[in-house]
Amino acid sequence: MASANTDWFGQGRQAWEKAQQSYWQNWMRWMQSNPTADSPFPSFAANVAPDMEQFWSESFVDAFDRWRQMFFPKAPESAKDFMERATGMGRSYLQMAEAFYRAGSGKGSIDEELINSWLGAMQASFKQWKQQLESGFDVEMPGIPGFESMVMKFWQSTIDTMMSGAALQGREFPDFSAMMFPGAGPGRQQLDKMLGMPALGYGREKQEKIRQFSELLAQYGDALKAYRIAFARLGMRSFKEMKKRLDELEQPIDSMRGLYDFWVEVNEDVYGKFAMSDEYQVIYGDLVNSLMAVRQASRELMEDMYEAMHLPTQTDVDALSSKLQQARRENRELRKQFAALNRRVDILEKEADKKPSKTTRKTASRKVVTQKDDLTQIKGIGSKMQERLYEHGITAMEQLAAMSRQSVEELEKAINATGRITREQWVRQARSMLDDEN
Amino acid sequence: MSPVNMKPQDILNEVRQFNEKFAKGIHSLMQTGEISSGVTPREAIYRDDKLVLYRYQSKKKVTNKTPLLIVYALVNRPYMADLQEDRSLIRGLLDAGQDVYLIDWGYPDAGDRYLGLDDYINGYIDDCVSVLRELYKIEQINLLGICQGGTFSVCYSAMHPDRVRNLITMVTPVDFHTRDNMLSHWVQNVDVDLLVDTCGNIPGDMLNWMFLNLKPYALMGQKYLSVVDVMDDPDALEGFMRMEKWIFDSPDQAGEAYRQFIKDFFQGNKLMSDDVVIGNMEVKLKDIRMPILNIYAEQDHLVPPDASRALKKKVGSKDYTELSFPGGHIGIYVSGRAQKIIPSAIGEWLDGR
Repeated sequence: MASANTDWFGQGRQAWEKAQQSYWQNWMRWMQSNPTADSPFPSFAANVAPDMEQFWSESFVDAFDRWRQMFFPKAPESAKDFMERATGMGRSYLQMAEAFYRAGSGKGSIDEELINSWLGAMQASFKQWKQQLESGFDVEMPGIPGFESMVMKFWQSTIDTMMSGAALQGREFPDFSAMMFPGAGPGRQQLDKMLGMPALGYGREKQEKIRQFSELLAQYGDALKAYRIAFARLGMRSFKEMKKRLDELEQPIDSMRGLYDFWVEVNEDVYGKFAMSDEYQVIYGDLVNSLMAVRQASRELMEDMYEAMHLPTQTDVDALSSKLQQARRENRELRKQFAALNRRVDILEKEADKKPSKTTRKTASRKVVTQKDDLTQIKGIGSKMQERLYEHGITAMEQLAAMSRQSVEELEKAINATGRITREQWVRQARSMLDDEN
Repeated sequence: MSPVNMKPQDILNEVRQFNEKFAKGIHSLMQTGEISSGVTPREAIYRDDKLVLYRYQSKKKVTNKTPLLIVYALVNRPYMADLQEDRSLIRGLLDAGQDVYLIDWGYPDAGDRYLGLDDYINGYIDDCVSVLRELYKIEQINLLGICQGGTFSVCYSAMHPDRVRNLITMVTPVDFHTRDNMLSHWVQNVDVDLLVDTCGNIPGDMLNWMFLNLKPYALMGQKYLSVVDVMDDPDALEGFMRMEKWIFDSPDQAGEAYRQFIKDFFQGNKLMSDDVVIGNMEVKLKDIRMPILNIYAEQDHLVPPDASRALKKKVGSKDYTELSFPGGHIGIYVSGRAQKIIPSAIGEWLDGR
């Protein structure tokens, strides 16, 4: 039996190599010919001898990987991200197909028994994962057929995004990704190493900060553990639900794709319910908050170092951005006031144009500067307050109407009437008065 | 009955077909150039910081004299409303005789971290409205807000009712605490102050992952297998790639605006209790008395219909119309059905007012 198998394998390999050679040669020729949308491309099936089906069937994923490797560098830039996602998912799907094919080949068909044993195995692997997590072991999520560990990858990518600017990876600080579970494994060793670092220059204060940092890391580790355990339970629920729904089917599923789509539906439903649960709200919030606390603390540690080197810190940059935004607001305010004044000048010039003599027009234009509106029309402004406003250069309704929150506050201070302009809504009143006029 | 009934040979055939389709698809993929988006000719008529106000050029006669200003969300990019020739809300609105303008917010950077909702709504939006009022010598313009841009438009209309003639909201959240709002459910226990204080601007990728995780198995898995079925059709593939480009083209969110939006709207649901204050102005929905057309999508997984429909009972308008679209949050702009229904409905509604 063993020798027959070896023979089959040996012959198969030779035939496969031959077919493979011609197959890839065709591909290479095709690629070198600067293919256009119209040129024919080599067919997969035509280049593989029919008797090779058996061999191909046992390397769905290998064949697919070759394609990935071959095409990826040649793909247009704009298509690379898409290709990565599409081939990644295609690969997972083929893995699932391959698993079923292999299992089904032994008994001739994919039937209830096989599906049940598949679900049972998945259930067991998630149960084991849960137990490992509960015992404090840092174990990655088992792949869900067809999706691998996609849902957990989401979290990893969030961490990557969040921590990308934190410069945690380096000599000063431990590798963050290895510290997901600070209580165990390499993370623990790194933490010990870090805590054992000589406290050059900073002495106790730095040691204390590092100790606090490690506490936050441990809290994050706990939050991530709770999150993973919840996902382990979610996985187990999905398998159970899959079995239940398969039992309720009226028509059997007769294709791999049909099975995949059914599997998606079940997972999505179970996940959807879980994502709307109070439990998820808590573990999700805890995870985000604890990660942010770690990042915040790491930033403080980094900033000490930056300050010692006389380099600008994030806090410095924030302070500048804040001032920049303030300047922008003032700028916008001034532009508004300027535009309001311009409009007023235009109106007055037009009025002056209606009058015959040039001398009168000149006088009218000059009047613009000294034009004073009756501000007492605004509820809250009496004649005394009006005088005070005139003294501070507020003479036109437009000026009041165009005021920002900040200039209101400044004016309130200047005229010694804290909070009054806002409370009595002078700006709003002025605006509606101007609108009524127009 | 066995719930699954397949022969190994069937799987083999399926895998073969899958590989062949994929190979053909890759062939099409190699031919795709730069994916274009935003197809209707337009000119920039006003700029401020990163904001650009565009006017779209119509092939047809503009019949509605009041300009229509589209306010898009800060998340994702506004070319969703003008994706391709045959899938463009903007093109449809132009064809319906509207004079269309759109605010493009651009991509905030570190210098924009302190941009708040007051800057966006009473600053940028108000400036754009002023530009149009001046240009057309009119007091009021028509406002069309999309998604978060719709929420901004609602706030703007409440604070400056004298400047808005008609308000149209599309897939716009108003009640953020409906039972089916997954995004809202997720953020209730998030310490937003800590998040913004730590991150500054909120990375667009992070939000994008959040959106994809509303339906992870379909949006990150199944979708990429389904596309294999149409990959041999270059047009279909290009359409898919264009959507992909849009989905992953997520600008970062200005920190302060994000902070207030999450705290006051998502967590506090203050729009519903009239407790939102933007800058020094209160937002009272009763102050909205202009005609309203509220359009929502029945299968919207991001903004559930009830979140939008809540507007009806809160506003002071007597002229309130709802339009329910049988589709999803994105389909409402890009699906074939949407092209037929939405722009003409908006045009007719506006022309009558």
